[in-house]
Amino acid sequence: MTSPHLDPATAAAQAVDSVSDAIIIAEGVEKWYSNNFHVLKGVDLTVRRGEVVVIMGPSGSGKSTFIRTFNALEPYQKGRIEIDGIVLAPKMRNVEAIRREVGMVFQQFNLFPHLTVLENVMLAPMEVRGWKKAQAKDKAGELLERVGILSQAQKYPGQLSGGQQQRVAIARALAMQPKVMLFDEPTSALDPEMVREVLDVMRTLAADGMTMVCVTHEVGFAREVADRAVLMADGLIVEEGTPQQFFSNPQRDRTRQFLSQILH
Amino acid sequence: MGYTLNYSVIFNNLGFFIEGAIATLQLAMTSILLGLLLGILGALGRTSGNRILNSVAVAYVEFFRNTPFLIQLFFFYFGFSSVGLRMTSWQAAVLALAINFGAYSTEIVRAGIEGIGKGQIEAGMALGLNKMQIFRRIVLVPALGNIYPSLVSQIVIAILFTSVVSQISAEELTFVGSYLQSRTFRSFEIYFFISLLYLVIVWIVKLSAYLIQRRFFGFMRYVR
Repeated sequence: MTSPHLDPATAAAQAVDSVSDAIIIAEGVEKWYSNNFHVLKGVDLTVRRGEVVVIMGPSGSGKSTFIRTFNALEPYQKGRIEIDGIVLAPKMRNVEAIRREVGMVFQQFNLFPHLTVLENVMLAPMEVRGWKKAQAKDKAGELLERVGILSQAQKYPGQLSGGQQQRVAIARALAMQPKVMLFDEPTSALDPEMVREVLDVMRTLAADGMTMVCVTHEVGFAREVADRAVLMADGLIVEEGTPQQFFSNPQRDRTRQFLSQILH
Repeated sequence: MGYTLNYSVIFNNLGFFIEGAIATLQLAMTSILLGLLLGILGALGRTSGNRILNSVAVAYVEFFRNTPFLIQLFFFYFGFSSVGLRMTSWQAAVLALAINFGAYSTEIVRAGIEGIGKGQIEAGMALGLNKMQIFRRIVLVPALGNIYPSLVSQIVIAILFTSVVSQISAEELTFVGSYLQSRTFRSFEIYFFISLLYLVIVWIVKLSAYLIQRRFFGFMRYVR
């Protein structure tokens, strides 16, 4: 990352800066599934505050598993993950403390079917942050308005379209006021005509300065919004770079091959 | 047949019958609510992933589903009193019915919990909820919604089971019937009328179950 025309002192200062600015630091992360499959083979990734990182890669490459280690939904066996200065140790006690700072949006939305849209968004702030009902309701209303779904607040998730449900899921995660948002293929389960409304919400979020790590194959979104694009294959990061470099001038054969497959 | 039907025994003792029916309803409701609580705890044990809790729950279910209820009842009433733990017949009846219903509902509720998708639990974890919060706020209501019809059938069976406790002289509807029968010998009229009263009790409970379903499980209509 160091530019050649900086003197060494400035470069070092910048390096220190970028480290203290990092909110996610993953170093040599390795994971085996219980059937001994080596899904992550030593993955390094540092995400700075306010950065938008898009992770792409063929299915089975470990990209979802990798981001799910950031909020301890997946344990890992080797390496080190630090989220906002707290090391995610295996079998740690207060894992909830990290999870409430890291929002996650899932491929299948995973809204709670027995709660209305409004209640879905209010639940975690009340249970986890101990907010009063009125406060949680105000915040939920504000967030639902932001994702354009306030008029559906009293409906159940099952009454909404996939795109609407995913926007509620984003609002639900934001209600915890997380420092990082993880997106695990947020548009993969959607009908094509609903992809855009979800990506638009994600664009706004990025523009507001949210730190985001997105596993997605939406090239348009990655080119426009991401600060960095990453290719994972076979449990390793193969290539990373600015979207400009990554899509227009990839350095690795594996990246070129993957891009030719998704840019049919 | 030299038997002339005479329903005066019913009319003369109507208040007595109604009292018995109310007692049966109270007995059923108390033991079913307690039993459901036991069932939820049992199902928690069965799904906890903790080997000891699971074994305790399995043993509980196996024992109380595979032995006769009448024997369970005698065990709580006569067996316990003979080792010095004396209960009234009413207390023993509630206890036996609740524990028996708890065993059946453990397996029903367990099926409901196992029907909850992994994604639901992960969503709760990702929001920072702890295990107990996830169970109470995310898993429990949809799990009960999943198995509500089976649970209601089991509740009806439990209501009808309450008649057995007349055997330890717990004063409920069947006890009232047997008592009047022994004094008047009007078996046909009395047991026919008592059957009708049980039918009404079951209908009341089923109607309540329907209202509860509308109030708490209305969302199930929208769940694929």
